[in-house]
Amino acid sequence: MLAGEVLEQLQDKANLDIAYKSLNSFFYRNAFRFLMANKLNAADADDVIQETFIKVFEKIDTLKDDSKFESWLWTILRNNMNEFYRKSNKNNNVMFGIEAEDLENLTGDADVKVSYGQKYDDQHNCVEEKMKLFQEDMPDQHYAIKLQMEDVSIKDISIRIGRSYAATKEFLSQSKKKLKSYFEECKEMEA
Amino acid sequence: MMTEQQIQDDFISILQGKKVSGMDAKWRVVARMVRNILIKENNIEEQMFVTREQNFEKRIGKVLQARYLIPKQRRTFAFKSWILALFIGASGVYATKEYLHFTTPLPLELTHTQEELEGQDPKLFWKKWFNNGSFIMFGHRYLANPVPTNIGGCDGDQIDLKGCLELLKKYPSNPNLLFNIGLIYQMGFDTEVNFEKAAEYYKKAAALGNDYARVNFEYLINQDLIK
Repeated sequence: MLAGEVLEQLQDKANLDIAYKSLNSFFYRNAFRFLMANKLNAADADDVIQETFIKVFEKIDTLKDDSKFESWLWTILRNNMNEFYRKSNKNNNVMFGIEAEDLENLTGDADVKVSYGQKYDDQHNCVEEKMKLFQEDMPDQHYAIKLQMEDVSIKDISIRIGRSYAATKEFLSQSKKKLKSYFEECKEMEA
Repeated sequence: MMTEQQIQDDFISILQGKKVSGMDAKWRVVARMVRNILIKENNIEEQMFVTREQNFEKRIGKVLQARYLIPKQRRTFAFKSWILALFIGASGVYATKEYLHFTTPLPLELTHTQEELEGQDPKLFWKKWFNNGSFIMFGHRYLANPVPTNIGGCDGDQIDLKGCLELLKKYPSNPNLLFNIGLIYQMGFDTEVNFEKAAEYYKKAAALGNDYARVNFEYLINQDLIK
């Protein structure tokens, strides 16, 4: 299902009972993964998506540029997520919020937490452990890498994480760098 | 010698499942392992999403309906159920009406209607609708249990045409007796089956207020047994 088709159904008042199903199949999985990457639990993620759906149905008539439907959708989701964190006093977990700050963090190496001291039975265990560490330390980068792995275009990634195209490119480049740094130790092990 | 940037790009290409040549063998192994881990993660997620997505669709449908953001769904299932129930009920009524008739001789003392008897004995009401604990709808009309009578000769135990006609001379206005004679002609208990005569006696009994006779008379008409 394409964004345009979903939008058409949403705008056609006669199809609203189908539109929410289409929106669900178009949006739910990606939104859920995004929220999980932002450390929400499954129940909270569903609540945030629910609020997003409600807002979409309430405000669909205020959307001026149809081509920006998808980014509008993701903006609502991110705002709801931030609202959720604000209400539950979890502001420290807000990600993809302020671009400038994030970019600063990304360019510095201070927050890279790779533990080199541990011994691993074999290389595969090492990679698994490091992957978990990467996900825990940098869930937003982990999410971005997964999107890249699935061949999601930079434009689409930028819509989801709410950054400009150029900033997303830089973010992805930094994410790759971070990811690689996690596996330096594993690389030297025997498979 | 590969640059850092090249290694990173190749790493992502391996994650995407693309063929990469000239990449450092050690990094290639690591990248493949990462790819396998991510694929495994995705597979687990996909399995989880199947049910989550369906459940969420139901949930959001209800929420949007409750807020009047989408029209309430027509309850087609309930509607169909009602139609089905109505159809079954109508069939039951039709079937019982169509084939209902009495085949048990009535006690000659019974000159009251069922409703009148119910007024005297509340248990009869339940007996009308239930038989050994089972709901029998209109089936109670088959369960006309004759009560003992002291008028011999034309009751359930010793019914014969001759005896009944003898009694008729003595009790010409006993509707149950007229019904029983009609029944003898209808069923051919002691004589040839004669629906015309049966109808004649039923008509007389019905005129005297015997509902059993009326029902059997209607049965003869409905079944085209009389002209």
